[in-house]
Amino acid sequence: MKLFKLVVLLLAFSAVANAQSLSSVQSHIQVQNLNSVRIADSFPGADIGAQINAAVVDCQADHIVCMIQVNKSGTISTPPELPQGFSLSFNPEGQYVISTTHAHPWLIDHSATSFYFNNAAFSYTPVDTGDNAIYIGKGIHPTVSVSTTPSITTVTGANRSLLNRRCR
Amino acid sequence: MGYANVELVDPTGTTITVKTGSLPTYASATATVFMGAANGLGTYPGQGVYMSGVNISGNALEMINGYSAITAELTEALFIDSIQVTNMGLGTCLQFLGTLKSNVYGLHCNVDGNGLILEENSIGSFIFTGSNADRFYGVDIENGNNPTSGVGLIIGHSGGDYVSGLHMEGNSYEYIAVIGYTGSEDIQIVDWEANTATSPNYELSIIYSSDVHLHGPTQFESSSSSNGIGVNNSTDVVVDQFSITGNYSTAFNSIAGSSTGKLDRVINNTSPLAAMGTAGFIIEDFAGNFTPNNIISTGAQTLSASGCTISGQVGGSSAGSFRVATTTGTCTVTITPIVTPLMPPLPVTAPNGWACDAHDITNPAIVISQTGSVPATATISGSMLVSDTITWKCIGF
Repeated sequence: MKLFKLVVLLLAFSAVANAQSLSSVQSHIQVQNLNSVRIADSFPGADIGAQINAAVVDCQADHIVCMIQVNKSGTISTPPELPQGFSLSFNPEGQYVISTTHAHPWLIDHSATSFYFNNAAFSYTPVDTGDNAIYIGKGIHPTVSVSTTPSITTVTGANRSLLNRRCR
Repeated sequence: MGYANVELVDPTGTTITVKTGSLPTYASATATVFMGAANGLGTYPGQGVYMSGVNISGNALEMINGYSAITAELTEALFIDSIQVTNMGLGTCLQFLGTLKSNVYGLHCNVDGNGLILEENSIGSFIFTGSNADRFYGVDIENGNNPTSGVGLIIGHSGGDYVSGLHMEGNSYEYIAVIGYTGSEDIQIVDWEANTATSPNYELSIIYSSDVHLHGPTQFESSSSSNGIGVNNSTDVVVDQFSITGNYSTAFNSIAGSSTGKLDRVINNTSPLAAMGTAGFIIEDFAGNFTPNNIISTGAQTLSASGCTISGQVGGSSAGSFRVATTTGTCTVTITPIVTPLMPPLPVTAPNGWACDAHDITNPAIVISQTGSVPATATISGSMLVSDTITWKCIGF
């Protein structure tokens, strides 16, 4: 009987504790990480692109594949770099200015990546011929040189080790 | 890099090492390059890129050509679900360059450069591939304005692509669409109107291609363009269920080198009636189901006479009248049906010949007979008198 009373008291205490916990729930929770979701807004970076990349690095440090969420509006001047398997999602009500450069364009150069633009307004003004708001592909421009030494060298072009970068 | 003397391909660098002493003796040796999984962005390893809800706008003031909102190059299995590009001054809405087996749902282009381009890759120093087996479902290309160098739809050096539900309206481009150097393209059009191609270009030009199929049911209406559909040096082009309307002077024309195409249920509703030069094309359903109130012969008329001189020629390419000016004996007139010339005049070649009849309406008792028939010409002959008026008509068979 004493044991029964003790159990009842413990349950009652627990119920009161849970009620107090529920009453203290915040209407807004700001988090940086939610399992495999990263909120880019909360990561450091001079622009949204840099914040996205910082969030990616955070996921890579945890060896997980992530969904990167962008909630705020702003400028994308640093090209976002999504490894394989990653997803990127923008706020439908957001307004974004793509201001990547001719030398450093926004390349989507890894397979199995997903981009949910959600009809958010993106504006883009090119500054040079050949510019693209978004370029999908490896974007490799090799120039081959056959020298008198026993080698053929691609004078320009991406390092092959960068191809299909995975979550590390 | 497929020269036989390759010894080592550095997996992390950019150098290919060749066996010592082997290659340098071939200063101009041909290197063969194959596109492998690592060269392009494809399904292996992993899967393609997925994008949805893309909404990109320019500032309408860009005066730089050769840029795009989105370019996909040497890419495989790209999937785009809803993309709209608006308010760009020049450049291209969406271009696929060596892009394979990709799907695009809901493309809307409202730009002043080019609309949709499917072409070969431009990077990599080598042409790896065209844009093949890509599928587009629901394409709006509207209100583009670049009459100097813009094109609404370009499919070039590619094959096996499919466009369903193409809506092309209100564009003023050099050409509205160009399909060139392609094979097995299938395009279903739901609406084509109020476009203006820079004269004398055709709104839809098919050149050096084979097995291009254009489907309706759709109206194909001119705003102020001179010419509708032009086929040049292409084979097996099929146009199916088009109602051609508007103010074209030439609704359809198969130009030099084209053959073995087919017009099926194509109705020429232009006003005034536009020329339909269909050399080499089989016109299906015209005979059975094309039931106009009248058939009016238009186009340039070419007659030559021997044994007489003629004047006062009126009418069109395959029907008309003339007056006998002078005679020196039996009057023989050779008729060469001609399409309305946009290119240098070219004779219509009937599959077998022309069946003609002629009448002397001044002296009806004078009999005029047909005395010759070949695919390109026909001749009529009779003892016509000076000042007689002769009516004639020919039907190809």
